Amino acid sequence: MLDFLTGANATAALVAGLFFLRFWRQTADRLFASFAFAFWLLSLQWLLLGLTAPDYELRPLLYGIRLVAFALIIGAIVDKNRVRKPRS
Amino acid sequence: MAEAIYLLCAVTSVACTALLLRGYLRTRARILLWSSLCFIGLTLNNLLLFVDLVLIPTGVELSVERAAVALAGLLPLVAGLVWEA
Amino acid sequence: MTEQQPLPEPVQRLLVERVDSIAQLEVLLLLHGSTPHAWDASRVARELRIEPAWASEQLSLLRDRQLLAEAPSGSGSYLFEPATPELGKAVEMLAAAYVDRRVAVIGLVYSRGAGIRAFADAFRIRKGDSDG
Repeated sequence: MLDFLTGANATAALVAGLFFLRFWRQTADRLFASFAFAFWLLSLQWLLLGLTAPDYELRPLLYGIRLVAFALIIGAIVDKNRVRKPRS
Repeated sequence: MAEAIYLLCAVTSVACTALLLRGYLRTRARILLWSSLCFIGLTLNNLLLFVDLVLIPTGVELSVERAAVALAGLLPLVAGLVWEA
Repeated sequence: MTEQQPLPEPVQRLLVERVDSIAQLEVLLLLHGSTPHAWDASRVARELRIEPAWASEQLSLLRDRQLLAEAPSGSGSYLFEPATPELGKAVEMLAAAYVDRRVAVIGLVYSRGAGIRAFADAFRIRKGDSDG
């Protein structure tokens, strides 16, 4: 059951990332690029969770991947709310 | 350390949920509703991870529940994206 | 009147792929109409009566989509400079369509990608008045 759910999550996140990639191509809005990579990192995290035994030595790596994914999302939101000043 | 990361991720998910819900109420674009559901799922996933770290001594593992709530959020998002976009 | 005919194919593609909003369309046509004159965000904002921050973002977005280029003087000004002749032609046709068939053009801007734009816009915490 757990493996099934983990695999489903990895796949769903991968597909979501693909859609965000497409939106990035359509709109040239960097936010979608960040979301695409964030969801792919989450997918990677679930992939690794699914393929490895619950080995606590690996946990720091998985935390790190999750952190980078959410950091990308935070970065996208911050970037979206900054005004781009013209270069002088 | 890990606890802080999961909390940060949970807070970020909550923020995304709130922004997307606000956007949905403003524009009625259904994709925002599905995306909010996805981030609610991710929030619960992160919160359960945090709880799991604290509960580990009792030997209770919430792995299935965690994966299930994440999937419960991801499925409507993917379905919505496929349907609408 | 040719209301029932669809807009020309290059115009449709241009609108779907590179134009998000009417404001952005107005910025594009403003710069196109005054080639080779360069505009910066504050002058665009004054001319079109929009927020300077919004004007600045639209100018950079249009630059990212290869419709505008930054002026060589580097003063934060942009001018109309499409990356390919086909793009230039499409904008010509769009400008004409905006005069003759404005309703059709506006309809197309709003029909496609509304959800996608809404997703990105949802993450703007304050609409239109962020300060740097």
